[in-house]
Amino acid sequence: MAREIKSTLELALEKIADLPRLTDEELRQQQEDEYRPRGEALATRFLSGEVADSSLEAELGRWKEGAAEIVRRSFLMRLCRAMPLGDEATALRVFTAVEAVCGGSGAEALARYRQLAQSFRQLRQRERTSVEQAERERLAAAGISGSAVRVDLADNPSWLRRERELLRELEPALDRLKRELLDAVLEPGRSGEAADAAGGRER
Amino acid sequence: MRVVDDLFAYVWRGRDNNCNSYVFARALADGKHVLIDPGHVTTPALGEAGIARLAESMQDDGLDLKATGLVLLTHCHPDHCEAANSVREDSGALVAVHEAEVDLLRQGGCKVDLVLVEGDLKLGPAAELELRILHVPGHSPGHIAIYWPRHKVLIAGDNVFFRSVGRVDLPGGDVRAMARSLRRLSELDADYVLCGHPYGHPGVIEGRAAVQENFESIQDMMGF
Ligand SMILES: [Zn+2]
Repeated sequence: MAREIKSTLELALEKIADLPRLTDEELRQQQEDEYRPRGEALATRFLSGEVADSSLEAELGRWKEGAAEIVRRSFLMRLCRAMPLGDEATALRVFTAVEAVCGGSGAEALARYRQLAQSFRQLRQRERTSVEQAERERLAAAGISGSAVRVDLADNPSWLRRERELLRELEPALDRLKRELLDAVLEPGRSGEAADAAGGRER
Repeated sequence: MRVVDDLFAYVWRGRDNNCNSYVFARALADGKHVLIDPGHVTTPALGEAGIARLAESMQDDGLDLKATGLVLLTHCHPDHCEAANSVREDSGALVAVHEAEVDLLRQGGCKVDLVLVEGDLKLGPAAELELRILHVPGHSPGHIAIYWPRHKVLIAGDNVFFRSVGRVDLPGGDVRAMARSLRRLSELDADYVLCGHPYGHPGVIEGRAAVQENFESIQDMMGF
């Protein structure tokens, strides 16, 4: 009878032995699920300025081997996905990080981004001038004029709509650029994930 | 209460703090009004109706608050500007504030359509109503006063009260700037001074002698 009473340890070991073994693929996925959010969180903290350029290397250096690679990749993917056209300060932070993490591998994409951002700026300025002109005419028709009055478009519905349309028009070019940047910074064979990232799909 | 021509004063008569409002009636195209300082929606301490009461008082003068086309804010303290956004939404009026307080107003959740700087403001289809926007900081950094040369009317906001002046101890207040602004306002040729609040007096100071006497008493107090 006493022989049939199993110790807690024996019971636990039996349970573990009954568990199905994880395949290599499942192990890889488990590791991916664990470390990807850390890379993404680091990107968010970096973009918000909470993590300074100078501490980026140390932050990424906290992880080793496989984990380090997952964190680095998810960090870069989140960064590139966050790259906006209308906010060049944020875009420059993205490129700063890309250069810090990957050396010069993003240089070509950076030059292209600058071109794209410049076309956006020019188009935006042209549109802005025309909306401003229309607003001034509307003001004059309403009976408001004089040197004391300046039109402010930040809350102006027609300007906000036009700006959104402009961003939408340039979005395909920006997406292509994000894809290229990711292809350049991630190691070969990862371009499928890069395309996912550039397309903005969360996995 | 009609002050002069089509300029109306709406003196706050509640117990809680709120501002006086002023209206240039039918000053814009399509007979729309220009409202200066709509005040509180509801006063914070006692919950008195602010903007609804203003609408009723305007109605008594045959003016519809919903026919407002432009809201001018003397400055961005909530007792002057809180109802600006609701007037904007209800009437489609444009909201205008001095450039130094645009961000502050937006932070408070109000949309801004026009930025004001020192200069001329012409109103009406043929620009027949000519006003002057004066940048007079001190009580707040982007405080403006509105001067109407034709009838020598000064809408002074929270710079000038009856025998008193606005506070300078609030954020953005500046006692030296206030003294400069008061000196400047006192040098205007004014027959009417319309104050931002009815402190100890309705705040509508009428007549050249009364205006001068008021500035003299302020001058003694501030030493400018
Ligand atoms: Zn005030």
